[in-house]
Amino acid sequence: MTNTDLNQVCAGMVLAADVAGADGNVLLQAGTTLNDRQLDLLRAHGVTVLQVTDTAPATGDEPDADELDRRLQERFGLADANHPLIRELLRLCRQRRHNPPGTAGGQR
Amino acid sequence: MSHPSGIDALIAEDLQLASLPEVVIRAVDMVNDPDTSASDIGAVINEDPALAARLLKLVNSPFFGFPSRIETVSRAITIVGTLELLDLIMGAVVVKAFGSMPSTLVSMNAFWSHSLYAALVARALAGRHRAPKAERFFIAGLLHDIGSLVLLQRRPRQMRAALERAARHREPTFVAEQAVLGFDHCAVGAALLEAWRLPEALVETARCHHAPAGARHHRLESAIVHCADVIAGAATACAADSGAVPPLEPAAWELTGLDVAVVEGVLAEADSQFLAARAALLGEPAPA
Repeated sequence: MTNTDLNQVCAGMVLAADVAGADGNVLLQAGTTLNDRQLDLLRAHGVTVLQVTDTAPATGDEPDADELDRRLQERFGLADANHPLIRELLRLCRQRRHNPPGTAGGQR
Repeated sequence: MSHPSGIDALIAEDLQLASLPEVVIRAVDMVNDPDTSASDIGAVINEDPALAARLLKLVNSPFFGFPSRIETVSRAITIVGTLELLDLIMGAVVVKAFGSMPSTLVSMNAFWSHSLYAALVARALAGRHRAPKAERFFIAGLLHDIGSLVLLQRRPRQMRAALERAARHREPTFVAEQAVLGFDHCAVGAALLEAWRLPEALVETARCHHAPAGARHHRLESAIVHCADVIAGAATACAADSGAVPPLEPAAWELTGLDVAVVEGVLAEADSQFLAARAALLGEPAPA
């Protein structure tokens, strides 16, 4: 387990160790499956590195499709899901969710 | 133009640290003047050897992929074209001006990755719209969020509060900024680009990228950058200011006149250029 830059961490990754803020208080506990809002909050608390495992733990399996979809819907929460462009983006995001560009998983 | 109180002070702070080189300002003026030639502009750029060297490094990067080495600024202008080259110069200068400033809230890498992806998408959308000089949309996309960078670096405490508020209220970051600061990154970015004397189109797209219906003179630019921001927010999982995809203004997408079927190709195009462009602009080693 090594330290990972927060910017390389994506929703769906699981904390391998507790994360503390600058004041020493634990913000999130080991075992938490990170979502985008938690990542924003860690960023807002000045956290720059954390320890994560790459995939969800529990079963050791990939999160199921419903869970991935729920996270995707959350990221799209401010957008109108009925608009054709948003519908198309959701479709494309489902296609490419395992390998988004500009993230650790997307780099060759 | 008058700004909400606080913005002028903010911009004054940043101008001291991140003023555009005089050469760039002169080159921008010359490009807007129909009477100047490519060689006139080349001569001005050559007055700043560091800038000329950086420019040659950019045009010889894998982003362009020219088969033979380009040795002089005037040759670069002939091959690449004045406008596109100027975009690159401005991009490189702005990235460099901000690059060394630490921000604890968002890394420079994450910030520029989102901006660069939006820039590539904006240019690809403009190309499909058959907009003249589609490459000018690249710089508009690259600079659209520059106000966020100013706020993250100059008002980190308020921005932390704004990000927390946005997460808590499930609202866009710019709405939370308005509540916490009294203004948002759109207004700050526009004020900075205006102070830098950059073209009005760039000022207006920065100001209107979350509310493109408010654009008065550059409606297409504002609409395309708005859509590019939404598309980049969706396509890059770890977007710079927030994980959330910003809201789409439907009229902006209508204005592009594009069918949603183009989006898959636009993303493929942006993906294929992203790593090389990031290496060129951020000065990283080129990807293998």
